[in-house]
Amino acid sequence: MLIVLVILVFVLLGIADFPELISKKQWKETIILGVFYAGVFILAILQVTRGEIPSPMMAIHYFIDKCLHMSFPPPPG
Amino acid sequence: MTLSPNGAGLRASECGLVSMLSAKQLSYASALFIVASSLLIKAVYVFSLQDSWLSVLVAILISLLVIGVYGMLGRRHPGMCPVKLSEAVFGRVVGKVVAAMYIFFFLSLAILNLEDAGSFVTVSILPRTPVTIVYVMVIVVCAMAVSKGHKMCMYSTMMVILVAFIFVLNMLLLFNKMELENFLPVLTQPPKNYFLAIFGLLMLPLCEIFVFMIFAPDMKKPEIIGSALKGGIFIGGFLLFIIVVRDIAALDGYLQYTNNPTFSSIRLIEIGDFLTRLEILYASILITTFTFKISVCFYAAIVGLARLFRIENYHIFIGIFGVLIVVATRGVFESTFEHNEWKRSAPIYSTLFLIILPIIMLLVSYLRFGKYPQKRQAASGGENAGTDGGNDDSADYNPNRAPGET
Amino acid sequence: MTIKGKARRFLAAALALVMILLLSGCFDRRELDTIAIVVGAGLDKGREEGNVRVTLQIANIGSSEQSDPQTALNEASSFVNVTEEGPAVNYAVRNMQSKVSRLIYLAHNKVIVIGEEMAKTGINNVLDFFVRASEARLTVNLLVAEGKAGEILSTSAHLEQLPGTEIQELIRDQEITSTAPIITELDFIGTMIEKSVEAFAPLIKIVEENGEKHLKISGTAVFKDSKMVGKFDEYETQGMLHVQDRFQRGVLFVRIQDTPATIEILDAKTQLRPEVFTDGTIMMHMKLNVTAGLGDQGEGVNLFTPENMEMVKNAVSDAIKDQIARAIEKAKEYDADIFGFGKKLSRYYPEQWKEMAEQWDNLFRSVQYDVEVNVVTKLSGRTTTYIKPQ
Repeated sequence: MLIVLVILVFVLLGIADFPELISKKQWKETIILGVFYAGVFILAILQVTRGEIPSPMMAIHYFIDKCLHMSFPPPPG
Repeated sequence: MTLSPNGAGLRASECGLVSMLSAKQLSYASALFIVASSLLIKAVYVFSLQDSWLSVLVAILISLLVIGVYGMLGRRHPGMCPVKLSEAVFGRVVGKVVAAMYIFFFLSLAILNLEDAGSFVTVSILPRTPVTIVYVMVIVVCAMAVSKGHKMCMYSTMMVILVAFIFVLNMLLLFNKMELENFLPVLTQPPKNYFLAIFGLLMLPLCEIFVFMIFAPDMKKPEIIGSALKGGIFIGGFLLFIIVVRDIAALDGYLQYTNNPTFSSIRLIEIGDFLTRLEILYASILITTFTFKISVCFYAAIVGLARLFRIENYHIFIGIFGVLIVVATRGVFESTFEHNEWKRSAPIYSTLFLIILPIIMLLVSYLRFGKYPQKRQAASGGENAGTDGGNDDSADYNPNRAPGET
Repeated sequence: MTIKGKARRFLAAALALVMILLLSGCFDRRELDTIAIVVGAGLDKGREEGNVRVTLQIANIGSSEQSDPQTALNEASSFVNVTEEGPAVNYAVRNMQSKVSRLIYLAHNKVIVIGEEMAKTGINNVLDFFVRASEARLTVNLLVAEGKAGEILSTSAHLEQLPGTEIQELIRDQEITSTAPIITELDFIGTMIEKSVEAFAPLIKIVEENGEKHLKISGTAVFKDSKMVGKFDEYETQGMLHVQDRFQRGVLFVRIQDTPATIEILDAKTQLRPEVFTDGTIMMHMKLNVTAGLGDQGEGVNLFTPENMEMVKNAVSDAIKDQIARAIEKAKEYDADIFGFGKKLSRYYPEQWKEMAEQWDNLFRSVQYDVEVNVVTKLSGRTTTYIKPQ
């Protein structure tokens, strides 16, 4: 059910964005926007179906905490 | 999707329709930025307890030094946003990589702030509302703000005055519950705690106003961006100081225990029988200032991306980035535990972008261009800082400004 | 695409409409006739071991036409007490929902009454719900009941509409009687989680007169950590309030040269300063500035003459010193530092406090104190001499 909603949102956004770019023949913008659309679409579908997406924040936290040992200590008390 | 009134895809300032930002407007805008984070900090209280007011003062002083670095970068390369700056300083390839890192940083700022604001609303005000709806509503407003461009900073003066008035009012209303003795004993924490508290304050909220460098091309006099940001630190820092002093004086032992000290202290306002339950003032200011902060970070990410790819019209990215931010905010933390864990690393993550990279940029700028990059700018006759001359930067600069003119 | 003209206006209107629907917070809407407004909460020991018996007093606002809970409460005249037992407070309250037809709403709660037995077994567990819930406010008044909290909440109110309101007003009357402390939940929690001060709360009990039951607030319940360990009566409570600088207005009965008189204390301010001597003795210096007035006097000497005023001042000063002494000595018996001596030490002598903090329970017994009372008398009343039948 939610997948349908996600697809609907993307189609609407696509209709709003792409015709103008294609009619003006701005290929660079179209490609970049298309890449973003694809990426965000995948993320959205992942989240709607699986309920979680890989979070770069936790990866960065893991790196800072375990590798660099430079994270803040847990609050006292 | 563009909703610009003149029907074309040009930025209004390129048509000369909208005026540029003045330094004062930038100061107030950055002060509003600082206020937004000040309303939700607890991290500084856990380390320096009742001496947090000292931490705030010291952090303000140190942040002036850091802003000085940004100011020097602004003077040497006037009117360059961080994307252009990194390309100018580091060269084409490395510059683009660093610029991409910055765009990711701005995007992550938008996501984390949205997550903070959303969790506040969901926990304290509207417990049964699905948080996605809150995200969507805030992002819609931010998208509208971003489509207006740098105009969104122009009204911040009024907002800051209003916010300051409300803070002072809250402080007066809490007078009967404040005790000066709550500030004693002074300076009894181990020094490491103070260092941690000050460092945390530096990264969030004070030095995050680096984001405002994205407005450098939109300023009337871009070389004084350093002073503008310093003004913002003073105003925002002063408001932060008021908040911290009020919280320490009103909440005594409870400061350690609560999740949100400012909210708790405002809930205590009780004058007679009629002036109670004033936390709505706090909640509305919080949401408003957070929306502003998210708009600025959102704008920085989108405009940075557009300039990176040499795309004139950044409006096309607004829709999809809005969706990206909402999706990402929903997925970034799986639980409160993860959120708290992230808070432990957040200052270091910010340090890279707010202190380390700008200092490196300044050093490299000195090494490559010596003392006066402007001269080389004028000599090369272009708006570029003499690296890969001939690159088309017309999306950035006001074409009405003569090359080399400052 | 660029949207111009009509389509743009239509889109803007549609968006605005959607936002209006969403902005009303329809997920969290709470209409007045769907909420059960709680005006008082009582916590007792349950029948089973480890259980807590929660009593919630819910105002029956009936068919009030007000849309604001505050005014609807002012018009409410009847109430219903609902009781439920469970292993934890939140659990019991949620189970209680099956007995209450409207959603329990805690934001207008005025008092939390804790039963004596419950207080003696430790109350930090049961208070956690009221501190954690974002609905419940920290400005509610906290009391300890002599007996069961459920009975206190069932005593019908006399001058007010609801017992919960009556209890709250009784507490507010302590402004002029000062025979019991006025404690909010924030104060209580704040003192309980700190090592340097112990918690205390006012006592409330039911007195029966002429077959009618009245609620009476008098005295203090003294806690150590989270358990109640003792009580102060009204006299000792006044002394305690003086030391804590919480005394507002109150009366003293004195006998000067065989003349009975009521002295009214109009204003009392205390300054408390600790001092630690080199041999480790802890001394608390108390300096009180008291404004007193003559409430009434009986037959004997006219207390309003300048010479007799001195005697009045001395009598007041002695009485207050006695109250303070009795309060401090009794607190020492319980090993409970309810005055916050430790806290003052931690503020003015942080170095020494670090060493003392662990043994403060024992060290508290050895604290010395000296009291200096400065009385200023004010004219009070319309007569300058007493009624002397001839």
